[in-house]
Amino acid sequence: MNTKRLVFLAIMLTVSIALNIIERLVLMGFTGLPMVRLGLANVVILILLYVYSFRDAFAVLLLRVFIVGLLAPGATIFSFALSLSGGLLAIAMMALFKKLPSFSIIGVSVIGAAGHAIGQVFMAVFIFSTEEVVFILPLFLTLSIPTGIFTGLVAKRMILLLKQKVTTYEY
Amino acid sequence: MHAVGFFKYTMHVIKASVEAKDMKRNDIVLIVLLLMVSAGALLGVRHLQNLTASEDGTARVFYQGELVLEIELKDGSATAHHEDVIIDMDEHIYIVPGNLGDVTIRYRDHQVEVIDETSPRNICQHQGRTNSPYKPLTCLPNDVVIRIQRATDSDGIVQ
Repeated sequence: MNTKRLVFLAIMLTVSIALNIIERLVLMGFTGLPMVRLGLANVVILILLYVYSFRDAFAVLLLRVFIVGLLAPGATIFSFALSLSGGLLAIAMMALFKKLPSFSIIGVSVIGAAGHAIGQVFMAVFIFSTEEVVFILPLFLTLSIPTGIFTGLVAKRMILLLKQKVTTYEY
Repeated sequence: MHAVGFFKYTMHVIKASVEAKDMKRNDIVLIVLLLMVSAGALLGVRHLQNLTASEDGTARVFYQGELVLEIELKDGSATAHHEDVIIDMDEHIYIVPGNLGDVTIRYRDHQVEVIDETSPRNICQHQGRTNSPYKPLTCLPNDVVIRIQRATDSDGIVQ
């Protein structure tokens, strides 16, 4: 791993941690729906999937989940388990859909957001052994569509910017 | 939630993205499919919750997997199964222990709701009121669940 790559990944990790924590604090006061978030940290994972590789994106995702679990105010073992399961299913589905040629980054982002919702709800069912929690899934799934489109658009613009501004960029 | 506004906004975002040539055809197919599945499931769940709403059932409150309190949805009368449970019959307020502090439950109009608890995101306070077995209230960090049992669920005996 060369230095440039290492530095870029470190910056991306920091950005995703900051976005995740800010989002937790700001959006829940703003929307009144505590579990609904834009998933801005997912933008970083999406960019890494497209710009670097699955391995790098996966490493940043895991580190982000662990560090946010330690740092974020009010983070519990439950929220950690939920972020981990959501993040893992999201990245798995995004990597899968990215391999299919007929989807753009928006489609990949939407499936990632949906995967995040599904992963979280199933983890909640598992840790709480309350099957009825699954009834909240349709609501989360519906909300994941616009948030997925939004994060996809942001990631697309970011990748374009990276390509234009950082001319010595390595892929 | 304003479902119509939300739907309009989603459509607006999709339209703008299509115009900006951000999406491929399959993206739109995927989004529309997901939207149909989730909206269908959403309506289905709502319908199920309304269908199974019960005015004479029992709200069973569990803490750490153990039944600590039962509230009759007919009149709000309650039975405590744990020494730390506090019942205020005048106000129909019930307080049960949680992992992070007390969880306050209120009974009103044959429904129960969580009105106060300590947790990072206060999720169960936002879940609203329930009297359907298909709408349990879950306070994950506190390990408190409120499940509804319909009157006919426990015994089908007709006297």
